[in-house]
Amino acid sequence: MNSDIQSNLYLSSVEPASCHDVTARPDNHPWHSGKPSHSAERVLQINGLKHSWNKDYVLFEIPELSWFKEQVIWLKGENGTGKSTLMRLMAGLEPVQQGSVFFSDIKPSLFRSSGRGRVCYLHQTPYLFAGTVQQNLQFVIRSLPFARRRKAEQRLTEGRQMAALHHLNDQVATTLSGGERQRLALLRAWLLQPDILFLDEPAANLDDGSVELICMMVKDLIQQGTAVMLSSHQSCALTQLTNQSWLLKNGTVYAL
Amino acid sequence: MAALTETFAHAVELLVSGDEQLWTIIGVSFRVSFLALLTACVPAVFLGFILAYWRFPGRWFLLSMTHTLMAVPTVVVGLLLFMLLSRSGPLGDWRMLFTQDAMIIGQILLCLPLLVSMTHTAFQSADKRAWETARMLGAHPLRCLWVLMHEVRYALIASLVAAFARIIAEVGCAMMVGGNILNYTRNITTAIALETLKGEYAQGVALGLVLFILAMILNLGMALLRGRGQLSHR
Repeated sequence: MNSDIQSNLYLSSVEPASCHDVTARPDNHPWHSGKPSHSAERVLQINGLKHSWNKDYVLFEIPELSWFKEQVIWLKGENGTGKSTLMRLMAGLEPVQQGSVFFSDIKPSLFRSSGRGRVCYLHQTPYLFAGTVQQNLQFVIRSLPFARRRKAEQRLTEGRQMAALHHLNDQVATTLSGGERQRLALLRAWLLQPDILFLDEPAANLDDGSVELICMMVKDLIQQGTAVMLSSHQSCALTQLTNQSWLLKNGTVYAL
Repeated sequence: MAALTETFAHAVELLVSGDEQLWTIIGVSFRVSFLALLTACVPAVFLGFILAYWRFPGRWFLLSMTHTLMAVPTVVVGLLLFMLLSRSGPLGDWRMLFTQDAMIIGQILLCLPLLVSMTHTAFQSADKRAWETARMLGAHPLRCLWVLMHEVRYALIASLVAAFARIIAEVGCAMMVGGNILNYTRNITTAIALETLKGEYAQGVALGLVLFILAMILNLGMALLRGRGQLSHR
């Protein structure tokens, strides 16, 4: 069950945020993370993360990596280097095999509900729930804590305009086109307003219009304080929103 | 041949005329099997889900055990339950032997492995993104499970139908722990076995017809559902 995987993930990383200062590392270290700002708040800290398939094939090994609050990260890498796996590990969808992934402001907790909906990962091909567009959006609102539901209802109209889905309210979600699906999936995340958002190849196979709309929504989320990481194997309008690149190559991450 | 047609005619007449004894027997069968299925389905869904989505040591062994238990003959389950519930048995104080409750327990034991195994297969074949997306959007785990169940609803209904078919048609366990008491624990299958031995074929044939019609309704229903559950766009 994923909840337990997630709580394991948090529990295995009881080490507080006072991990080794990244800036103290020599600059030529491959995993040296940029933005040497002492005051910066860490979003996420990775220590000694190692992931392998079948015990002998190591996909990647990341000794240390920090993600700071103001960084919008572009996760680069060829196909098959483990971009999705790394994001899924960070989002808690895959169990951590070795090492730790630690969110500095989400406290380790046995009761996972305290962190529910704060870390969100969007699949490359989004999954839409059965039912209409409206029902898909209502799913998010009904998952929110009571205090936030009303505000989310109010933001719904604005969001639908932004994603250009306002005319498709009653359409069955599974009959939407590729671009509309991706926009709806992102709109769900936009309504959720997570603290951390992972976007897995959000611009793959989309036309320019859709990419532009997605750009706008991501930009809005960033302005609202969501830490965003997106993966893409080529540069596009979306990657221009990023200010930090992580390159997955040769089984490790290079912060460029 | 004439005797055979006569028996059939008599059987239909029994059914149509609403023979009280016959319909009591049918009522016992349905009551017991429905209650057993109702009790077993909730834990079965949870167990099937846990086996499909939770990696824990011993998972593989548990799965093999459920597959093994599916193949256990009904009389063996009946025998085990009989030994437990008989006066000298460990649960003898419950005074449960030869009651409908004992039959219900027996049928729960019979359909649980089948249900767990089939729901496990259903959940395993489900689109994993359904669960992940619901989790990532901050839904409560139970609500995520509901989304997943909706995703595999046809397979879940099929497993319910299969389990119901297994328990309504079983003789061994019902005979051993029910005791075939008229108007109380005599159900369709035990009645058929008894009446046939007595040479009273008409009632047996009538009851057999009921089971046949039931199987037909369930299968037609499933076929209709499957027809509606065509592959959707993904």
